[in-house]
Amino acid sequence: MTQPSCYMVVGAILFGLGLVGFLSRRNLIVMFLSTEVMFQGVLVNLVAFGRYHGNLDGQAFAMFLLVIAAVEAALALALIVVLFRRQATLDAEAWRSMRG
Amino acid sequence: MRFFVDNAWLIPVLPLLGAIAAGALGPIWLRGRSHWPVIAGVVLAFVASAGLLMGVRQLEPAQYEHSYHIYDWISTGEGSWLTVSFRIDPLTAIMLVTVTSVSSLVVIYSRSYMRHHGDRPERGYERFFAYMGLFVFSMCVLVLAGNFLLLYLGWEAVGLCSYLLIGFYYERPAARSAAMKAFVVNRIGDFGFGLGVLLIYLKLGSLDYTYVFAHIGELSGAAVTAIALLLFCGAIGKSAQIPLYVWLPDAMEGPSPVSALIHAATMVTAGVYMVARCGAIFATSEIALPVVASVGAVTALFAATIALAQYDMKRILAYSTISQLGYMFLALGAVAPAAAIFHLYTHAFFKALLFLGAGSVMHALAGVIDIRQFSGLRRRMPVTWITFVAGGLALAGFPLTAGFFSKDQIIHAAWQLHPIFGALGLFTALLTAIYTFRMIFRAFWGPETAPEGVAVHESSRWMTVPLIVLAVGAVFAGYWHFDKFLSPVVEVTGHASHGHDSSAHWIMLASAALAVVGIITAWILYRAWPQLARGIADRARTAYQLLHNKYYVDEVYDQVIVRPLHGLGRGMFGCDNYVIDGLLWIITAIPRAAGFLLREFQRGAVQGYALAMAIGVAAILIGWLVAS
Repeated sequence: MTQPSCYMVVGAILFGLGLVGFLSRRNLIVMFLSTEVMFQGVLVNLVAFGRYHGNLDGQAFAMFLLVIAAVEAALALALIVVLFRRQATLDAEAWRSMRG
Repeated sequence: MRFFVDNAWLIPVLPLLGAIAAGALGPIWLRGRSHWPVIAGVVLAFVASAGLLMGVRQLEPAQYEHSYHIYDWISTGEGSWLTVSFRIDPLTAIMLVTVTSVSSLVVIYSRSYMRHHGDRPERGYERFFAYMGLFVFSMCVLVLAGNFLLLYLGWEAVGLCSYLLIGFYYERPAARSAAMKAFVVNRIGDFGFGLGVLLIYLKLGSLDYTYVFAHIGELSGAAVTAIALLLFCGAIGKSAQIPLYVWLPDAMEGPSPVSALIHAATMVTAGVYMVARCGAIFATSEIALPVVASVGAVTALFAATIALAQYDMKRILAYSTISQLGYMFLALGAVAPAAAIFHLYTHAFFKALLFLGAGSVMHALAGVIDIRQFSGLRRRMPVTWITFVAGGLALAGFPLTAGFFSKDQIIHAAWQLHPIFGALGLFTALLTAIYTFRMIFRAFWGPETAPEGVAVHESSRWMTVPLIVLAVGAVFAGYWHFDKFLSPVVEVTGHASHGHDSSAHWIMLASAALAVVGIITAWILYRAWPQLARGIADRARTAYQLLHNKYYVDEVYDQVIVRPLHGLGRGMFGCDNYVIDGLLWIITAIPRAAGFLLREFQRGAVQGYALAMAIGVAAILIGWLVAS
């Protein structure tokens, strides 16, 4: 079998890109987009492990994860809509007041 | 009569009940009738005191030592050491009769005095009578006390009542500060007194009179002297001797009945009573009695000189009281406590009379009491005039008045102590006659003048009858010589009360002559030839200023004691603000600094939190990898 390490690197790169994007963006929707990218990185990792073990467990888990990601997307966008109605902006800085 | 001895608690309690009734029921229900409970209480206390006196006369001297235990105040394991117990003996009986009789007359007088013209009660009428009842209670407790702690209680309580009554017209700044001054100066004396009581307890383990007086000889001379002098500190404060007399003239801001009762007849005599009661202690110490006599003699002369140049009638009488108290202490120091108590008793009558008479004048003249502003009152106020003259004669020691007999005994004893004390006593007697009749001649004789718009009239019967009764007392009270009655109690003292031996008759003649000479001098200076008085004042300008300004003692105290203390207070305040609070500020700065630093972790930006999480996960992973 092909070593999963190549695929894991891709997954890691995707995850890293998503993380960096999340940490450095101010637009709420784009922040959420980055979390989705982090999800995809994990998915790639899972599929690679499935291929390594030669069964479809990895892919099955990946399907679960896709569903969860979709649900979470719905939730997050609903929250973003509510927040947008509050402050009329999608800038994360608008909620800076909630600080310690 | 035994009833009154066994139930002596009635004597303090009855006025207290009257005071409570006046205080609780007065403001709303009793109003202008608030005097009734207090008058009833005090008069009944007087009746009980008279009964007690009769009862004591029937007792054996050995029974005087008996402590009448009322109840335990604080009891500890080995039996109680704070008890309310009374000591009932001739000294107590005489003091009680004096206190309650004068108190009764003063409260009756106050019923009319504390009213505006038109019989409307003054503001605070109920409060006045409540305080007066409370005072009589306190004084009776002081006199009846059978142990030092109860004595101290009564001592402080009369000081409190004095403060409350001096500051009765509390809207006047002068009254407020006079009340504070009285209390603070008294406190200084009381501090010494408290130390003395403490020392007694430390050395002897008990505060009961019987025990202490019996065992006082067991202590070292230094201890006994220390105790005696500390107790005397209290007497100096309470009885207005040098150097703690300064509160008494200012205490005249209170109403005249207050001056008559508290600052003439009763409270200020508490010091004399205490020294007489503790005769055993003072006699055992070697230097205490001479100290007492010296302080008394110097104070008597000092105050008499100041009285010569005062114009406020009540202040003249205040300095006169200080002077007469000095006489009493002189007698105590000359080992003649019976003479001191005799003078206390006669002085109570004639000084209260004089103060009430001054009050009568003030009441008629709408509050004016400066003798430069009126004269010739004798025609419009005959009763006040006659009684005032009677009191003045007694004060001056005119022959056959009560004051004559008591003062004569004192000078006798003083001369036997040392001729110089006798000479001081005689000279002060001369001054006493002069300043007393200066006041009388200026106020009651001469052309009829009065301040603007004042119609001079005699006072009501509520006021004049007590004056008449006191005048009778001032003249005739001296005929009850209670030396033999008193001698078992103050017997440590011994000789002088019986010292009317033939060689000493000249003292009696001398004091009588000086009284008459003084009166005649006053007549010459202030009636017959007023220009002479003014001429003397002009020639001896500095002496006159010195006397008129009371030797500047108050000013000296202010500069030397009051201002430094104020400065110390400000310094302490600054220390509290800057040093102690500064220290606290530094301590509280630490959490604040920590918070300042930690605040950065929660800046409100959600990415910051995510970054912290990511760093945390990375750290855990790396740590796990390194560890395995």
